[in-house]
Amino acid sequence: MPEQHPLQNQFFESYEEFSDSVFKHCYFRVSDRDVALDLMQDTFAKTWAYVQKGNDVEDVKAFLFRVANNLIIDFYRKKKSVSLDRLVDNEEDSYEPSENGHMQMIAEAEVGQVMKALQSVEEPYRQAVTLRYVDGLSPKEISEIVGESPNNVSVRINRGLQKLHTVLGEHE
Amino acid sequence: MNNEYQKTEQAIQRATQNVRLSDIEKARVRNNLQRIISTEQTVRVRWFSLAIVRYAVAPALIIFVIIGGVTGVSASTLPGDMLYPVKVSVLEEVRGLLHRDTESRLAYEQERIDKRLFELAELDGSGNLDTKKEAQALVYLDRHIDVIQSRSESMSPDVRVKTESDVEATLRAQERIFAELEKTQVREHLQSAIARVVQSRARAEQALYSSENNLANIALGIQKSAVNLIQEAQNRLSNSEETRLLRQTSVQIELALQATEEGNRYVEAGSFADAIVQFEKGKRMVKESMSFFDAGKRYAFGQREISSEAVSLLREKTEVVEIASAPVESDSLMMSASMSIEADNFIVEPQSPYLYFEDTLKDLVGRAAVPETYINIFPGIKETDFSGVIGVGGVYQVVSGNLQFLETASVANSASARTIESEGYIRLLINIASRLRIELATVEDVDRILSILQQTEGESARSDAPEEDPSILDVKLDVLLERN
Repeated sequence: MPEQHPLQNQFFESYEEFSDSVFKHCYFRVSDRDVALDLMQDTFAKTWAYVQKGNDVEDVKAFLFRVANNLIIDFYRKKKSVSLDRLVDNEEDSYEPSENGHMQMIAEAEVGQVMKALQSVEEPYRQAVTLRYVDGLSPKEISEIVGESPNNVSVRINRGLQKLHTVLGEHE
Repeated sequence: MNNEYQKTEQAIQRATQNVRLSDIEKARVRNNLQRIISTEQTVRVRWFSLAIVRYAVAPALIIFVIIGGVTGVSASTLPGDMLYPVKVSVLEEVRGLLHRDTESRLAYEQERIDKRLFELAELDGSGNLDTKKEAQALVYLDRHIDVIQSRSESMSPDVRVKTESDVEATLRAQERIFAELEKTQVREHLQSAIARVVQSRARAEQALYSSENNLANIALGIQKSAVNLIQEAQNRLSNSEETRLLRQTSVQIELALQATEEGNRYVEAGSFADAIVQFEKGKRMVKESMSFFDAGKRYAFGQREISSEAVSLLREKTEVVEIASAPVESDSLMMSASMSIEADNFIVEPQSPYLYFEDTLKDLVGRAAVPETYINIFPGIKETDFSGVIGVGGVYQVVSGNLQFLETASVANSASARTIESEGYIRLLINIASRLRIELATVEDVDRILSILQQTEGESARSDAPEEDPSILDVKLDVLLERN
């Protein structure tokens, strides 16, 4: 057996703690479960590569979200257009059913609606709204991740929410 | 925050709560990360799935394949070889392009799963298998499963059930083979893959009920195929002298017959979706058992206790029950071929260790037992023993060290969903025997296992087992001993 890296246990503890929130963030940003899984895996793989080289990570959560954000930006740079209708309408495995079939349908409809609305919000507002409301981060925490001032972040959140509100209102 | 936006915030939060990483996905990515860390290199296999690459570069690659064929990138290239990634992610991918229709491509990807596992077994046989090579092949194995699952999504529910069922049979057989070869990492990886495939199969089975296809014709076609497979298996087994393998295989053939008979009853009742599920279950069991049987002969783990005396003794002890009038060879363990399978038209082998194990446990605790029941009764049983064990409405899997039940079908009563099925008892016994390194050949071996599981201390006991009243254990042991 190869010798285990001293930080390996700590790394997997972080994985247990943050994998779900990193995945959720990626999912709401890219609207594709498989891509989100890949991005989540790459986020942790890159984080591991970083710490393995002897670099320190002070705030693991913030670091993970920073890496995830960079990967998402890369993804959009490379990405060709993706049919949102296909993603939202045909993605039958996208949600873990939490209750019975009827409740699941309602939940899926809600998720689909929010994701469609989020798609219509432009970056960087979409990023700010996702970090704030999907990931539950404070404007200060977001500012550390995106490298902007907390004030700028608050403005972005507000504008994003405004746009989202308008789009969701149209669906009602 | 502005009240005006409260509803929007709430909508996002509700949506957020309904999206989460499933346990299987989490475990899968964790496994991938573990492999990445252990190999310290990421094997990139995703690039070829890009359509632009596939179509633009394919002609050039086909030429490369031809050149590859004459420059030594051969099928015998194994994990760890420098050209192995070229073989799998280039040569095989290009060959995959020749399979234009989805069904043909699905069959090709299934072959590739077999290939990856065969490569690992070959390396193990030559003593050259290490964790890096394991990891390299398993990354590709996952990829093949992913391709099958994503491509079969566009197919009709009955094709999806068949495809997932076939993959499951392959993985289950291989999981047993690697248990025999004592390759824990590969085995655990396969267990995780099986759980994933079982869930997909269950979803496809659910979709059958709303299928618009002519299920009656499909059911009859699958019935014929199941019957043929069973007959073929019986013919092969009746000529075999692989005692241990025969026992392990014949019990599953017996369960396959039961599933097929159940399917027949559904056909009579006009419930064709249920019939398809049962016929596929029968086929799955035959395929799994015969793959295991073939591998057992190939890797010689079925030959450890073969002797002509043992075979004669076994046949003398075997009580042949012939109820129907179908011709049965008197010296055969299995029924001879018959196109029409009746429920009582096959030979029961009462000395099967698997059936004995199931009967003993059910006599002890009742028929509707769940893992916790056995964990409480047997201090020597471990949660990991239940990995891959099938329940009425799902499958048990160990995720991050904890036993979890992954639901695959909605069963009205959640308690009965967790009840272990007959197929599950086979898995449970295989898992325990493998952990205790006890070869399963006779009911005496099962008694030995049960006796070890009764112990609170010693080599097989759980260190964290709660203390039990010794008198209770005595009673349980008495019950077990009475059976002998």
